[in-house]
Amino acid sequence: MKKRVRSLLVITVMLAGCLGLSACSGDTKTAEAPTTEAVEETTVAEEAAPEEGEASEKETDTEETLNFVYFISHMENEFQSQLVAAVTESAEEKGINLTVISADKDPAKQVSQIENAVAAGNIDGALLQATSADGVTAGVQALKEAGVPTITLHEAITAQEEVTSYVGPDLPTIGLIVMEHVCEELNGKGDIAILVGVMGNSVQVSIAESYDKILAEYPDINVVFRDTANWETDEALAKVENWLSTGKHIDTIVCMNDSMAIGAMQAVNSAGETGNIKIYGSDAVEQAVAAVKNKEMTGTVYFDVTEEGKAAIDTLYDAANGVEVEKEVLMPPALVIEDNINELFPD
Amino acid sequence: MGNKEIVRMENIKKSYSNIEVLHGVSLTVKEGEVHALLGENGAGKSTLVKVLMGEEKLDEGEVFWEGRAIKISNPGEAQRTGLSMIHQELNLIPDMTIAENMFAGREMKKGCIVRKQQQNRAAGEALKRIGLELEPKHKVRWLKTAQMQMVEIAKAVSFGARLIIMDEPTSSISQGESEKLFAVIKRLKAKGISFIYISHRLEEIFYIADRITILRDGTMVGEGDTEFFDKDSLIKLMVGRELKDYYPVRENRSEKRVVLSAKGLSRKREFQDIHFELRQGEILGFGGLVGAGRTEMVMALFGLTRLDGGEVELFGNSVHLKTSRSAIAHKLALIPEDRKNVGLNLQGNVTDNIMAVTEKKYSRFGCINYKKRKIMASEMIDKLSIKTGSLNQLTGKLSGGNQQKVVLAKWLLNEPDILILDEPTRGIDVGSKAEIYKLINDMAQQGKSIIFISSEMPELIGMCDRVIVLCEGRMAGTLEKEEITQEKIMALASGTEVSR
Amino acid sequence: MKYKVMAGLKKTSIFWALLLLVIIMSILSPSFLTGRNLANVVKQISINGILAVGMTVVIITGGIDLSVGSIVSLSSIVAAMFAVANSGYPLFVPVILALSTGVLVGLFNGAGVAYAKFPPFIITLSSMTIVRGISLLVTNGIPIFGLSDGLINLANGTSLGIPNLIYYLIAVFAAGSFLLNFTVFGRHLYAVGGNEISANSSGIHVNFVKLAAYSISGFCAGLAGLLAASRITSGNPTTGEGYEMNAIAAAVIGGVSMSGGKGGLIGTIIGALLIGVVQNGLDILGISAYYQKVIQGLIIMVAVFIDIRNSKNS
Repeated sequence: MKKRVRSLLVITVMLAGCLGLSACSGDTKTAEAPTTEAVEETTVAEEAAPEEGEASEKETDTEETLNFVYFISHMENEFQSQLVAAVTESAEEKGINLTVISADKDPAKQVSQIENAVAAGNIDGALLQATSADGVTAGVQALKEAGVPTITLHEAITAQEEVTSYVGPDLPTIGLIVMEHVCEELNGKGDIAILVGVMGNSVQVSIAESYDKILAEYPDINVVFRDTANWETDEALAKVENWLSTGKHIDTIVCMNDSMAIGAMQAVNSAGETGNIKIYGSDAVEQAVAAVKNKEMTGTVYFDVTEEGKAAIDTLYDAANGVEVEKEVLMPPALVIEDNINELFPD
Repeated sequence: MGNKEIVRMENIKKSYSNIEVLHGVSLTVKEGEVHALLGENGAGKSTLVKVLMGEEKLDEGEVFWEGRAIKISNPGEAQRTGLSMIHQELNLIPDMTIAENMFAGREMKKGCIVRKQQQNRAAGEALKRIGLELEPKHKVRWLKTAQMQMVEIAKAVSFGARLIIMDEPTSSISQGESEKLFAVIKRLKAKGISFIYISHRLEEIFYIADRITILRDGTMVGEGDTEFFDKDSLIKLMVGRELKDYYPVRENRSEKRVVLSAKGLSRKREFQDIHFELRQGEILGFGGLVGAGRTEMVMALFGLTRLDGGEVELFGNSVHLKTSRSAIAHKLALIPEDRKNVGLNLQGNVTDNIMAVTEKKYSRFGCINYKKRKIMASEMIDKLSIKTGSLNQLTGKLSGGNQQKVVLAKWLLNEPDILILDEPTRGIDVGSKAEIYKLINDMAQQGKSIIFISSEMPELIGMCDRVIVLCEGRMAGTLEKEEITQEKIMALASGTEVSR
Repeated sequence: MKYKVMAGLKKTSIFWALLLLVIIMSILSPSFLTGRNLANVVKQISINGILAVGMTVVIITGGIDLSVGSIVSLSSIVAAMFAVANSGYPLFVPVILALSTGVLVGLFNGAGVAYAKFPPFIITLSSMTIVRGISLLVTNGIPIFGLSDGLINLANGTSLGIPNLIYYLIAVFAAGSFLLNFTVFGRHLYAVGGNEISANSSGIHVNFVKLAAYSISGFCAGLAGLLAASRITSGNPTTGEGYEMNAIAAAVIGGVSMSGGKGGLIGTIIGALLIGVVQNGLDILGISAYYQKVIQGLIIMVAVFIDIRNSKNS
């Protein structure tokens, strides 16, 4: 009995210790010796130097090679892969040491990844592609408190003012140019269906807002169906099959990404309506570009991923070196349709 | 003890899906009385006590507790009234201590902290009160079945139970342990606690019970003080006919050739150096206390576990039975002790179970011949007179005796040469028992060899040609037909007499 | 007599639920009961139906297979890799490879359960993430498209005016029903699921039965992956996420007991149809996809509740 009490005590103390330690590391080391704090203050004042209170020989080391960490939400589709490739390439060109950490779409996981990286130190800048606009605030706080310059990449977050800068597509504009084009093409009168991404996702929300803004200007455009297919091809396929079997008239299907557009395209093809129903996607993935070329799809949206990756690294590099940077670096989107496709994507 | 009645059930009726199983049964238990409830399986004993415990709702009739009419609608209420039931399958949590089990659900606590010391002390006292010396801090897992039962009794008593229902308490414990249990019952009886005692072992009924109520097919067919009954009259009342030749007579017991010869069978911590020869047409009994290593030995013999050492010869050829499949191929059959968990697939129907061993034999190119299957199954059902609603009846719904016959049918269909029967009549009513004895006898008569494990000594005496007694995993002695007596088996089993 | 009728009704309650749903849907939407829409429903359930057949086999043995969704993605990728129009392989190459991918993962699961004695939940949970990871690694997250017409036709073509997908479902269902009901192996599946110890002592090769059950589930998932690739005309590493849950749902709604030893394929197929009809019906009515999830959950609850009630009463 006594033995058990003792072992329980030991475990409790150990657990408490762990908690205490983690609290300290998250807490800008306030509990530590005042000398450390002094070092911390000076580094924050200088801004250019690495802000870790680490050994001095490391500091000279990091002046030559910067260590950036790219917290990515997931790596499960073509677009993400392209983005990672673009960022990695620009980082290599600049001689920056880049680490990519994937959160597999889990906000809680992403927050702990950020906290771990901050605790481990040796991080001169962070690229954050948030899994959720609201869910990673704790991680952003940790980065801010550690004085790590942070750039939200591709997806803005709610606490955007807490980070250094945003680099990404001009999402509202994507929604605007697509919907504007669709409505004009129909001469302001017609029936459309909309497939949106995972609801609540920041990209989905911001594009949906733009859609609604344009649709408000065109009262004669009738939205027959509007539902989510969670960015997935198979779900979009089943959904559009079902829509088409109602026999309701649809002029155009607008999809928030190309994966869903490809599903919609298959449903339309197998219903024998190829060309009669126009399909728009976004992201300009290879299959979609090919589909636009052979007229199975009408259009997609392109913006240069390589440019986006480069802009992200450039901005973060400047910020890490103490250069003042823009709060927002937006990559302009371009609508890809039959007219300009061969120009943008020559065979 | 006075004549004050503690519980009276009057004219109880109960139906399951439109079939009435209790046709107006009455039962009166007096204070400080051990009241035996007898009847074949399916006679309605369990249903009656379930109604009393509030586990089943009664359709008609009344229950009186100390003369007042009461309604018990769930086991919790029964417990508060002063009723407690000790099931055949014990309800203890193995990895909690004795004290924790005794106080489960009503822990002694201060705020949200369990006061273990106090609880242990109280548990110790409760155990001592019924004459048990057990350490309350020990885990229940390491107790023997009999000890677990005692813990349940102590738990019931500490709850303030005044009537304890025991459902076949001795079916899985040894004779010595049974005697300890009876001592506890007698001690509590003297304190005014009453018992309803369900059992199939008539010997112990005469030893422990004050009064007896006998049920048959959901009606009460007899009630009275124990002294007014004898074994024959009880059996007659229970089965509604006289059982002549309870144990069948063996003829033609000439010694023939050796079928199975085992030398030095051993398995770590289970049994050591067992050797015996089994002859054709012989019924070889294995006696001993529960836990003496008999079940473990036949499991290893049948290839379900590995032998650490020893040799097995079948018909003079040395064999290695590493899996049950090779044992089956050598025409062995094992009717296991644990019918429900090892013998049967309770989720499967009667046909599925009967065909389980021989499915391949009666199939063609891996496909089932349903017609043949039906014929074979119904043949076995007729042959063993299995009482089942249909060929597709779930085995889980059959009575214990009929379940055991299904297990037998499954193995007989494979026409084995050697049958290993491990406690084949445990928990089976008298009528079915006699039928099973006859079946076993017939098989021996047909030249099949039989290994017969039993903890019931009358059974060993009545059935076997020879009995080997094991004690703590070792052979304590062999008794030839003429020398088999209860005393000798007991002496060898408990290790008080050393083998010749 | 009356009692018998009631018992029959109870046993097939899931069928009546489906019928009721069909009636409600056809009242709410005139386009529901059209040939084209019914073809849609069956097309859309066929992949889940094929998975559910394999899942039923595994659940009958008392196990579970969480890896089928991931197998769908990997085998769709394998099929796509060898069916790209310019690769020049004949059609049977991607078909065989996709199916073997499924069987291979199934064998891995089965060996884990039968011989390494992993709990089925754990081993298939592991292989679920492992296989998904492999899918992403192989493709680098990029879907493979440009498949040959032959492969695209596998699922998208029609024969005798009926979509091809439906034939695959019927074939798998028929083979599965035959296996479960008319073969020794089928009886052994039930015996193992009903009571493993008893099955072993009756001389049934328990480990082999389990290995085979998971391999069958793997095969079904491989086939489903092949058809998924054909249907969405690409091999996509994100296809099939959550498919295992739909397959389990279909089996459970159809009355397959999670503890093993009980259930059959007719119930499973009706379960799959029920899920499909809900999805299709709500799409037609223009009701959000999120309601579908709520309703599907409720159906599972009600179905299992009825099942519990029935087994208590009988």
